[in-house]
Amino acid sequence: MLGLSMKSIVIIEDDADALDLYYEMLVAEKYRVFPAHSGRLGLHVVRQELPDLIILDLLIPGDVNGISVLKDIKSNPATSHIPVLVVTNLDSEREAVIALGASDFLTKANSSIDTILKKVRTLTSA
Amino acid sequence: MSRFRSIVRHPLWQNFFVALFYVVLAKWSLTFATVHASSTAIWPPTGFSIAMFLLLGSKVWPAVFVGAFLANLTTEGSAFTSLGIALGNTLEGLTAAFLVSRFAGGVNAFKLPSWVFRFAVFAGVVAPMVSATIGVTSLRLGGYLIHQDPFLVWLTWVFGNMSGALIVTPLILLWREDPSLTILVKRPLRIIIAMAMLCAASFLVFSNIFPYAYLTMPILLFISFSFTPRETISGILIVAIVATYATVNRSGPFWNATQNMDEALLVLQIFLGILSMTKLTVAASVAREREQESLVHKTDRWYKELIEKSSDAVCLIDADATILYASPSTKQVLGYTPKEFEGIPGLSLVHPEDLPRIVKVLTKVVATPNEPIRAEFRYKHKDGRWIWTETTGRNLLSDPMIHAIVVNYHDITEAKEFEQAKDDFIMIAAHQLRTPVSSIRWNAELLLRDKTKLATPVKGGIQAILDSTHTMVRLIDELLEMSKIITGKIAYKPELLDVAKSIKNEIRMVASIAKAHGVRITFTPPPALPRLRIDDIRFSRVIQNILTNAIKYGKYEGSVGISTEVTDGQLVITVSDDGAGISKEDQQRLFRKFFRTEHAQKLDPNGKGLGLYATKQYMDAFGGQISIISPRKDGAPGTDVELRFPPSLLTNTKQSKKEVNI
Repeated sequence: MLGLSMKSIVIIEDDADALDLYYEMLVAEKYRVFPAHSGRLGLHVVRQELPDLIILDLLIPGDVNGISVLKDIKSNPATSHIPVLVVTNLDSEREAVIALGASDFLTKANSSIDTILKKVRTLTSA
Repeated sequence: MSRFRSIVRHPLWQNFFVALFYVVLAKWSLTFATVHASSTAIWPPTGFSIAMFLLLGSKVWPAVFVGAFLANLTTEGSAFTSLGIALGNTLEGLTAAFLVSRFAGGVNAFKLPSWVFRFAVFAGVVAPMVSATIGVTSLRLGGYLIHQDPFLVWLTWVFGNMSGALIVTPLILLWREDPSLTILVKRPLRIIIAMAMLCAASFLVFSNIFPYAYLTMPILLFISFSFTPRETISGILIVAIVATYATVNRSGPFWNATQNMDEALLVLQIFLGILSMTKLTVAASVAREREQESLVHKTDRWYKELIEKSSDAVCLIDADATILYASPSTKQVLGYTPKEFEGIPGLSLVHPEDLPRIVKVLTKVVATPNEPIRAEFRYKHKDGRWIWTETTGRNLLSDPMIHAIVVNYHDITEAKEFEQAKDDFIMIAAHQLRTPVSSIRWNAELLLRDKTKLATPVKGGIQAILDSTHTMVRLIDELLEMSKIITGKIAYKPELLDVAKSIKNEIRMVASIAKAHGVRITFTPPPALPRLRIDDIRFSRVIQNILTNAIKYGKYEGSVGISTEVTDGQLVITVSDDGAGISKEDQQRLFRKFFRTEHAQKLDPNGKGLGLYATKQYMDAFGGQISIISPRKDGAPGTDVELRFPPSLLTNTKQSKKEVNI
């Protein structure tokens, strides 16, 4: 069927430009993309869609920030198996993030689209 | 009033008045002549003329000359002898004034004891001898001294002039310096007592009741200690007047002893002269002592005010940092009063995070005497909060006056917080810069991936945008790294590093720059280099920085060599270039923030001067050392940069096995 063979990705990212760009690059590679501009919304979508990958930014404003989203995802048995790719400009949290169970950590500005797509491919092929 | 002053200053009027007074004084004195009408045992005019020469200068010589001439002419003797005597008296005054001005402080002769003594010699002995010699000679030549012993005449002349000089000159000079009579108002009781005692003594002595002249001495001594030289000489004048009057009327110890008027007066003059000089010496000593004390007291108070009113706090500590003394401004800075602060162990209030570092600083201070050493650390204020202080300590333990370590400090909390806020801001701003940069980058990348054909110039433009974003990313990374170094917030992550592999990697990274400069890089590592337990990112930054410098600033189309060896347990990596080398002065400043040599600026005007600063910070953090050797170790021109890594960082598999066995 049409949508079933495509991998789904939830992107939790508050920057509208970045969301657009993720959307563009991932849709072109035949992924189904669910954007979420806040932590709260992101958690809701994740629980609902149970995607193959979550792309998470850390610097999301609001009362639910990136770290707490990660904690929530990994502690919820329904969602803890989903790989989380943290793509953020806050590179000082690398260890903390990996320790909490994120599958990988990329610095946004330092990563080309190719790098991101490669990571996505690796993480969704598991 | 000022017209009067200008008249008084005019040399003509001065001469007139001096001559007038001289004549009057001389005529009066001559009435005491017993030996010869022209020689007298009491000759105040000498004192007067010396005082006038000292005060008004040698320009009044005509007055003295004319005065002396007239006085003698109208007494006895011919014009010729009067001329001679006048000449002698004038020369006497000039001689005394010259010598006293040159060697005894001039008009201030009575301020220093040594000057008083010299004055006595010049004005009391040397000058009168001039006058006496010329005078007696004139009289003899004029045929006037046939029946008298010329030597006695000469002697009388000398001593008479001497007492005149030793009493009248100080009298005039000291009263002229301070003519005020406020002392009568300030210390009336003492004056009255002194006067009473003096009069009583003089009376007792010279009315033959207690005819011992030395009775006057203790009273004059009392005056010397209680008052100034001016009062002393005034007291002496009173004694002189009473004594002279009594002796002339055949009373008193001097008459009793000699029964001869000439001799009596002569002996009296000698006595008065000596009395004057000794008491004036004492008075000068006393005045000087008072002056010194007051000066010391003033200086003391001045320094005390300075320390107390300064906004920097000062304290003295011993080698264990026990507070020995705290200045009043301690309260302003730390909230403790000096009493509360003195005696406590100073290190007990240092912030626990800063304590190990400050203990090291203190050790350094104790080890380097006399050198000011600065540190910043947090200290506990009395009200419990932590304040940042900038403190300088200077070891003056072996200074005989201080015997302590002097510590100056002030509060820099505000400035520090501002600095930290600034550094945090830089870090936040750098992070935030990344957001738009990543957006530009991805947009550009997406455009280039677009399957629809783009015109070549458009493609070129987008590629250029992409290249710029790579530069921006790199710059932001450097900015963040530098701000982490400056704030000390780097987290080093040591890993086991294959040194040779890492260096080879860096050589690859700089390949394009090397090619652009035509530089050949040679590196032959020894077969078994130990691994380094070190943060690999920062290690590669160090190697890259040194290599790039060697390529960029070394010889164009020259060669750069990298050598590695293990010496004394340390790993030593040396990067050598055959360029122009680095001057000794530049070598001192090379590791400072933003420093660039002229040579470097010419070759790369865009450099920021931060590379070596960062490298040094990294090497310090590793516990290693970096040294610049220029000219090179073997003497060749160029530069050797030596990186030393301490034994604690080195591992090789053999060694680690040994450690496990232990």
